[in-house]
Amino acid sequence: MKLIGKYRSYLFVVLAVIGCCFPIASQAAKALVFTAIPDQDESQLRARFSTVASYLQRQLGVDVRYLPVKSYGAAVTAFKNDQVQLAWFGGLSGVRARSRVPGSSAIAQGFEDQFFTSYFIVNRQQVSFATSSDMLSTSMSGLDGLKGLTFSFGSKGSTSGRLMPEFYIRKHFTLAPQDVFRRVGFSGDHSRTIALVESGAFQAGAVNYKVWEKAVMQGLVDTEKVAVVWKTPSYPDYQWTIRGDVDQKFGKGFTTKVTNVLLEMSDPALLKVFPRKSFVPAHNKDYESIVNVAKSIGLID
Amino acid sequence: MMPGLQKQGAKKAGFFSRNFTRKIPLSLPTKSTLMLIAVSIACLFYADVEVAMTSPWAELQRLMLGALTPSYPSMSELFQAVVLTVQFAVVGVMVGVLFGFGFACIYQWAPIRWFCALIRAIHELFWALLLIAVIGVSPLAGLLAIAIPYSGIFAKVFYEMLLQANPAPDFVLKEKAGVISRFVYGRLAQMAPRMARYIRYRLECALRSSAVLGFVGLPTLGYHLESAVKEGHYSEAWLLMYVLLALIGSKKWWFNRRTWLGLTVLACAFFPFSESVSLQNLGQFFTEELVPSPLRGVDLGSDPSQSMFSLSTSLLLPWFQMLWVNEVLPGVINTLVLTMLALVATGVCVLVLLPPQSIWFAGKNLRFVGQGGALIVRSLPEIVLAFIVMLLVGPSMLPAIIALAVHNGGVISHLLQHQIDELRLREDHPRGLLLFCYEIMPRISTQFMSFWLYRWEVIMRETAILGLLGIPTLGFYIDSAFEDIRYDRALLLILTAAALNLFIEALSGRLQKKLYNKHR
Repeated sequence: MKLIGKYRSYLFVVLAVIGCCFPIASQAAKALVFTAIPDQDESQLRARFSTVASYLQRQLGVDVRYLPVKSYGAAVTAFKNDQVQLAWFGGLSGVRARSRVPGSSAIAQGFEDQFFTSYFIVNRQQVSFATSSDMLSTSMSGLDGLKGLTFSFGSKGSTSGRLMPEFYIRKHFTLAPQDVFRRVGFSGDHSRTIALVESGAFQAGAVNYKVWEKAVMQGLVDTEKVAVVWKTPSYPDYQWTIRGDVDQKFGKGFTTKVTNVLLEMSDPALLKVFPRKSFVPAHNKDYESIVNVAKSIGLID
Repeated sequence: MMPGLQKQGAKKAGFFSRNFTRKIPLSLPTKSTLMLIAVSIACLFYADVEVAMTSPWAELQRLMLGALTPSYPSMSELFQAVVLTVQFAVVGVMVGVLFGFGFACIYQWAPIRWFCALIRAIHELFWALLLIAVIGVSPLAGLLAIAIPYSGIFAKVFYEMLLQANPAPDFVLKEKAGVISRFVYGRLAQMAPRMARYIRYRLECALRSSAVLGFVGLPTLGYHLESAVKEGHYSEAWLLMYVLLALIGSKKWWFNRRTWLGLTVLACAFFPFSESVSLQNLGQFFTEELVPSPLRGVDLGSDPSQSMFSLSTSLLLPWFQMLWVNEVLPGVINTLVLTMLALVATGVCVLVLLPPQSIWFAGKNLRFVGQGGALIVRSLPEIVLAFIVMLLVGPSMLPAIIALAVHNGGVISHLLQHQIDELRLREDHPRGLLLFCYEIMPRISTQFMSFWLYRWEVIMRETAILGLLGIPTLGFYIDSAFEDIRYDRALLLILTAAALNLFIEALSGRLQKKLYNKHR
């Protein structure tokens, strides 16, 4: 014990040496790096997407790494700075990324992303909503009861958690969300929005329907406490976007190769990561409606 | 410029003019305290302090349970996070010391002074966001985010320390030695122990900053902490907090006079510098992304009928007006309101936290609890405290006020505790409340005020980052601008926050100087 006391400082130095060697180990020379927007269960992202990374690596024959990011903005920045060459973006983040990287293109989207939708949810204990059957219809009157509540969007840069809900709120009330609701918050991700509405911290919120359905199926949300009151008309959402210069970097035809590998993804375990039924081809022009909506509410210039 | 402005203001506002306040039969500390309290009561009307949660007890229970059952799924991930946190802190501080010392030597030169004031007025989290935007999510961004503001701080503190050195040795050496020898042996040698102590203190702050950088995506402790707290994995969150506490608490064993050099060399040698830094967009960032959006792609010299200046103002004005009304003004107001309320609440917290830490008021056991509690609240970053309080009372200004008050109260009461324990009291001194109110507090009031006023500026800087939690301070709008990839807006807002911070720094500096002179 005395010995340890005497050499305590040196012990720490030795520990530090061992520690410092750790981050060095994980470096690859020329690898395809991809990222995904952190839209739900952030701590699970690495586990989820590392299976996708190993699938891509097997199929493409190049090193593939997954770079976790903390925000939608960071995902776009990483794509812009060529830190990642491929990304699983939402509608809005994809549009933002492609506008900053000339030549980049949307190559594949989930089957469900062709007609994606957002749900408006409320806390039943705090808000008495008339439970009529036409609530889930696309008539906008379902939104009426939301006026004056506290309301949480998802991430500031989310398509299904912010852009489309805000668009329909503005369309229906012809007011900015800050003037419709008593308080407007940004929870950061969809799972968190559900948790906040369930706990009563916010009375209502808007979520990605996929995340909602998953939460209901896994029993993560008490549907006695939280109810869906309205859903938006459909719009295009998540997609894989690739930089235009990957063909130079990884060889001719690489974009096509990546596209095919993504479209051929059929292993249910892999598809569950997203979660999507399958992937279908996508093109930049599919997202023009998102560009227009984002411009109309001032989220892009 | 400042004194002139203030004098004018004083003349105009007759009620608050100097002569009037001088007539009030109160001591200066009391007067300034009362004024600050009055301002913050006025702020209370603007503040948004609503308790929204209906059932905080279930959440609180899970939180407590997490505190008792800390765990973490991946030890290697945790280890990496610890290593990176320490690396950022050690290398960041050392680079900061290097540059800070350099700046301190030429600090009498006004532009250097302004430059240092500016870089330290910007919070390290904003530096991180800016740097990530420029060079991508890379360890270098984290290192610089600490090194840049810290060199501004070191410059100021070192300069002031060197000024306080006893000039006698310098005089003796004047005829016999060169400039460098005189500086080293005449001044530096005297002040070296104090500087070393300050560096050690700063390392503690740097560890906290380094952890907090995780909130914007650098994989330090805060990276995992944010995810864990956000998703309600409290066992993981508590383990991470315990690790951070242990790291800060054990600092004197792993960062001391024997180890610092080795540790610094190692941390530098193994720093993952090369990892994914992308410089290709550096030029584009400055020539395009930072340019206000209405000016982008506009050739200012193209129209001969309008001068370059008038053309650019006509384009910029609507942009600036829109930002001013929608973001800058509400951001500034919320920041100021939150700062004032948190400042006064901090004072209250000090009064509550101080007695249980002192030998005059508490037995051994209570002191242990009191000092332990103070250690915990001052070691945990405010943003984490605010996050936890927000889970309990819902989103409003309240969690931010509580977090800032408790954290800064912990810091100040810790500093004051040493002072009051060293006070010499008469044999027949009163006890309990009487002792506290009529003997201890009056004797340390000047010191208390000076710590308190110093924290004013710190609190202001911290309120800005609490915007990341959704309280619409300037930080909220800065975060939005980064999320929207609108760096032109982000820069304007960051500069506004810096200006506000410089203003408060000047104000509190003036007050402190006044108090100090009066005291003498």
